[in-house]
Amino acid sequence: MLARPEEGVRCGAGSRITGKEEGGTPDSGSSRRNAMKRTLMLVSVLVVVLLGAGVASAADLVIYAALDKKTIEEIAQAFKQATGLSAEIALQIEQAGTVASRIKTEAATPRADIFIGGNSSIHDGLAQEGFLQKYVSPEVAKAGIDKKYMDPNGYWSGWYLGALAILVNEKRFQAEIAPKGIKLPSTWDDLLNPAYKGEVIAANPATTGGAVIFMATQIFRLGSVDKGFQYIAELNKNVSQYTPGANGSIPLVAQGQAIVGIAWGHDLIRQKRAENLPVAVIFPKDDGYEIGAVSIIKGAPHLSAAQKFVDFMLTPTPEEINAKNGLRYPVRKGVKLPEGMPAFESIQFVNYNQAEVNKNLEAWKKRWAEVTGR
Amino acid sequence: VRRLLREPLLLVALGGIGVLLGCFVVYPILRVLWYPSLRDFWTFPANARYVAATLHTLLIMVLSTTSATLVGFLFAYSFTRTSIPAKGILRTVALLPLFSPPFMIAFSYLLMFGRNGLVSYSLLGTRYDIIGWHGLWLSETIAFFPIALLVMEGVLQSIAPSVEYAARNLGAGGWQVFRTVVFPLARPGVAGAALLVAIYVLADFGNPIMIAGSFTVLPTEAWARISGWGDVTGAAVLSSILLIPAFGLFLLQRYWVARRQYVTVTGKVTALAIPRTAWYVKWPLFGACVFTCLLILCVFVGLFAGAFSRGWGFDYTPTLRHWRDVLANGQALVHSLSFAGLAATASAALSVLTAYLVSRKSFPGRGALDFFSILPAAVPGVVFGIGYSLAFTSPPLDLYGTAAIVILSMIFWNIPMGYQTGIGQLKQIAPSLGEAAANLGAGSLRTFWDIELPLLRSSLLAAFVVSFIRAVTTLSVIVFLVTSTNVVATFTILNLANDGYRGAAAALTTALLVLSGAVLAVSRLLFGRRMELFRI
Repeated sequence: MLARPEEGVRCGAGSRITGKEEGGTPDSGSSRRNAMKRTLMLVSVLVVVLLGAGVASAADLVIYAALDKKTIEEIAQAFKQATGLSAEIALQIEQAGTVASRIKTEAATPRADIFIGGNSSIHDGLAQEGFLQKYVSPEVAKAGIDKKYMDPNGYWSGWYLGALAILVNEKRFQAEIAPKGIKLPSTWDDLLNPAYKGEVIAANPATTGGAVIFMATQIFRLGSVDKGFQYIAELNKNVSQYTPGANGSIPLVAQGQAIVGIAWGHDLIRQKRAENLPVAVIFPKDDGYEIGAVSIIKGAPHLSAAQKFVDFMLTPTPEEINAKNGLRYPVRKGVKLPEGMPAFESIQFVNYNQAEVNKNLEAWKKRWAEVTGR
Repeated sequence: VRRLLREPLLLVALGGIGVLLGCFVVYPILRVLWYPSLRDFWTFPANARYVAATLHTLLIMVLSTTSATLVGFLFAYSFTRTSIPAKGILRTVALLPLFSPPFMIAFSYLLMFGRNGLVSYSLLGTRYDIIGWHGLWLSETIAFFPIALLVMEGVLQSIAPSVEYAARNLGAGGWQVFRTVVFPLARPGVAGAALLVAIYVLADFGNPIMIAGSFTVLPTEAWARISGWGDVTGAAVLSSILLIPAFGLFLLQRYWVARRQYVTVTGKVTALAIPRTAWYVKWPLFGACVFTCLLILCVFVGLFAGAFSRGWGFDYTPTLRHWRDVLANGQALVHSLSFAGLAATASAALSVLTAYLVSRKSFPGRGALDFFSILPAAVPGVVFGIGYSLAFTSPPLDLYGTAAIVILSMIFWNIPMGYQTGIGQLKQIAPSLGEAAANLGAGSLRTFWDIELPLLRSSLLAAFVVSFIRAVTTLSVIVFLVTSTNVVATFTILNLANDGYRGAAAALTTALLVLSGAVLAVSRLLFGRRMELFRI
């Protein structure tokens, strides 16, 4: 495949000129024409392949999803069964910000109807900038879903809850930490142990909403902003790096780059199962949680189908699919919980005040940067 | 201008290129620059994170460019002007990093040289932490020296051995020949290579996202603004800042390189073997090449290990189960290869033609054409993607969800590679050849077709190959353009990794690597043995 350098070197510069002179003989002239013919053939084959791609779909609903592939595909199937409407998953990537950015850059001619996945703060941001369409589903009242999981302004509907978790690389913990007589961490304060110096990976609130929830959890748990940041400063002494994404610590801790990490419990358990990760998962006392949201995009081409989809997302079927695949908690009561997932009530949650977070978000992010220097 | 009017074809070509570059390079970038308000730019210096990212970017640019150009020169010199053994194998390995899609390769570095790395811990027993600026320096050097190698190899090769003989006959020693003859002749190539590498380092995203830890650079910061907060405005501001050093580099290159031009392909046939190199030069060079190649192999072994083992980084039981996911994503692979194939063909043709016009013709706006052909390389992929998404997903030009939008972005994002290659080589070809033809009555087109094009053929092929590989491996551009109908493999790889299927991601990366290698091999068969891949 690769050219042998020697030939070229021996020929040196001059032989290219000779090559040109050869170009005048009939033989190599025809070879050049042949090469052109082949190029043309190749290009036309490629064009045929391309015509197959990019044909606009005639689906009844277009979804942009910040969820794992399996979950959203099963939800779309169940939606078709329940309503007869076909849904196209035009974009699926587990990065809510990337999906939100697409909605912003495509706002001149909106294509998607539904933005599903990602926590409520991302949907809030989109709503404030005018990219979402108001819709309050009648299903909320009908099923008696707690209002605190819904947008007070009516732009997004919460349909799952996810909790933060601590993950520990079991092998390295047993080899390096356990001999010092230290047990697996069970509270946030356990992470302050100097034994973990340089062995903790957390996320950065400047770049991900998950880390904001972690930061706010410390503030609410300890009762004051100052105490919260005192904790963060203490923890900073043990942190080797802050990843840009909320789940950035999962591959790094699994691989042994650090001993302890903080990530979303539901993603963690799912990945642990899929890839058999050698990590222990702990939901600490005074845990923080996110509200996973679904919303309708302003200018949605299929508005009534989109409203039906939001209604559908609050019924038991998709909540079960989601709880099973994504291991996220349903907002509705009476939905079957998957195995290996502690009951939502069994986790002790901190008293999380979203309004307070929204109000102080920029100030806290700034203070976090000052305290940690990152 | 009057001369232009006498050559309507030239005018049409220039007009066409101008319109294309205007539409598909300048316009999308302007859309990104317009997106934030002036106030957003004004608050930039007050944001400590942004300032830190800017400083980090400049620092790593200097470090990585220097080392990558140096390593690239070392290889290029060894391959073209010494008689070290095993050139073929060394060259193949040295060019492997060109194939590596972002972030999976960087993850492989962690696997080999991280805290718990196979080499650093299992073999050497240290808890060395590669994450940080030093790891980034290493991985960028490895990632970008092949670009420098390709550019400089072409230039060094065109330096006829006769000049070296002449210097030796006049009594110059090996070092003196290098310092006073070979290096000055190679200088435009070195400068061009350094410029290109610097620009790639500036816009690099795949390496720092995985390996830089808290050492943020502008492209990763822009990416984080997008992926974490959906903050298109912040990303646009950050990348606008990135255009400033890119512009600076451009001026520097023009000042330094354009000062002197040397011509070595003059139309006089020379067929001399390269002079012998002293053993104390040859063997250290050989050693350095081998060492670098071992490092590269290490990283790729890490990738293959991921594709064939149960748990990447913790459970090395062999398995084939990740390959089921590869088969399930066959469509994405087909898209990747066909889109990239088309894009690279167009990109190579367009960029080499532009290079020819810029270096051989004089016309108003020549400097601008030159600048806009280099510009895309300085724009981080994510911004190019945002620009395309803003510009081409609504009327007048609505390409949403089509293959065209992906292919166009690949064509124009890769123009600089072919362009720089073409320029570097044209500098070495005496204009007198073309002038002679012109004196004999050949028109511009005839001269181009019969004289310059055959000389440029290797440039064209090299441009095709490099554009193809870059198009196949690009992630940050296409993440803003794909939908379920035009999805490509790198997007699927990112998705698999995000979803926690890192084994499958490694397997798909491997498949992509092998298939693009196969495509290059097949096109070599198609175009006959005279298509020398990777030869500039």
